[in-house]
Amino acid sequence: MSESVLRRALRGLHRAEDALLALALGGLLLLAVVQIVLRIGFDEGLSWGEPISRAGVLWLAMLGALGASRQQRHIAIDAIPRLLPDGAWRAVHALTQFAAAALCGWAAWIGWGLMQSEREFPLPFVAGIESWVPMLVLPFGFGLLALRFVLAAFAPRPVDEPAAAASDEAEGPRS
Amino acid sequence: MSIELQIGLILLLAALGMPLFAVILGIALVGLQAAGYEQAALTEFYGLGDMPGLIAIPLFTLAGYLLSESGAPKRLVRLSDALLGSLPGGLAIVAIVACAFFTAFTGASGVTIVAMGALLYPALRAAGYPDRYSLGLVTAAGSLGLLFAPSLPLILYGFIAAPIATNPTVSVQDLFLAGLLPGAVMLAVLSAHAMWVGRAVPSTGKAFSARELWSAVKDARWELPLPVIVLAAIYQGVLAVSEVAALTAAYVLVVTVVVRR
Repeated sequence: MSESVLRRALRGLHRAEDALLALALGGLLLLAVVQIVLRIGFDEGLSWGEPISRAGVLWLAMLGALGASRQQRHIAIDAIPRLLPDGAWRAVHALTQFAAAALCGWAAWIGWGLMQSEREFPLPFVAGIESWVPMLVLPFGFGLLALRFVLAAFAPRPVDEPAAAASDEAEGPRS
Repeated sequence: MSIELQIGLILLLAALGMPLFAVILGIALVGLQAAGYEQAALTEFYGLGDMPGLIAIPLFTLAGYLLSESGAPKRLVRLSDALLGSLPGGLAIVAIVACAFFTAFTGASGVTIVAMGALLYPALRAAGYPDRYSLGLVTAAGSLGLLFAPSLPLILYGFIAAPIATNPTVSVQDLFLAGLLPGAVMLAVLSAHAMWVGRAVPSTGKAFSARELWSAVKDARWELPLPVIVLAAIYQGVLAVSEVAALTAAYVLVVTVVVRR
């Protein structure tokens, strides 16, 4: 029972990540278009537009990295792991994923420190928000990535059929 | 543990399949820690956010993904086929031209090989081209557009190189201009080679048909203005590259979601 609860929680988390990603990308696109219209049409601009869109790219990149690690689609050299028998693959996979998790955890730790020192001498970011708030992306982004890689260490070996997957994608529904 | 040992360990993990971003992160952290500046790795990363225009990359990627999902590769192949299919080595030239165009539409974000390759590789095989030639052609053609505007690697190179005081300064516009000639040469050479290989392939006996061409043009009428819009917008100087990316993504989004429904 706990298994299915965990599974459902994970699926909910994935859906929330997807929604957040789509929302962030859509929001950034809308903001960029509005800025162009304002600038060309009315010679104006939203003063908070530029900082938000710059910070947004980093947040988007981190969310995208989280999505990619969910499907284990980060680029890696898979020449050796591909040749391994199942048992050895399991050990090597766990090792590399834990190592990646450790490195991400290290980065999250440093990011946390950076954010804390920014908090001691805060600068204004945009109206009412201080400069350490967008920096939350460092500890949280890398921290969640570390968590993802810990989870991935226990994932089963993927059955890869890249050619079939690619043609499925290309032959998707036509409009 | 000495720094050589740490780097060696990370490289070993890379060979065993650790994701490459973690390899790069690890080398940066280990090296900077040895120098006593481990925070620099993260401040540099965060500093990326201060680069104006980086948003061009996710936006062009979005445009490319939407295009490949909307069936644009099929329409492009149909158009190139109507235009060039009757030549010797026609299908191979179709593959080259369609790939180059699709890459230019989508900023060379890597979707070309997946979207076009899956379509063209089976077609080339079915038409009687050798297996290794077909595979090589699709792979080579998929990266051809790297040299054409608005390719993301060129934009990225411009972003990194522009702040460095070179003489003359590197601008993204110049990089796009610089890519045109070598890109065209590669197109021509690959096409000539395709004609050479095409001699051994049984002719399709297909004649050029103006009617098919016109209907293919009508089919692709929403995609065709894109390269013109993108290039004109980049070179008229009013819009930054990131703004062109925003307009491209917005145009593709509206066409895919509203017009083509």
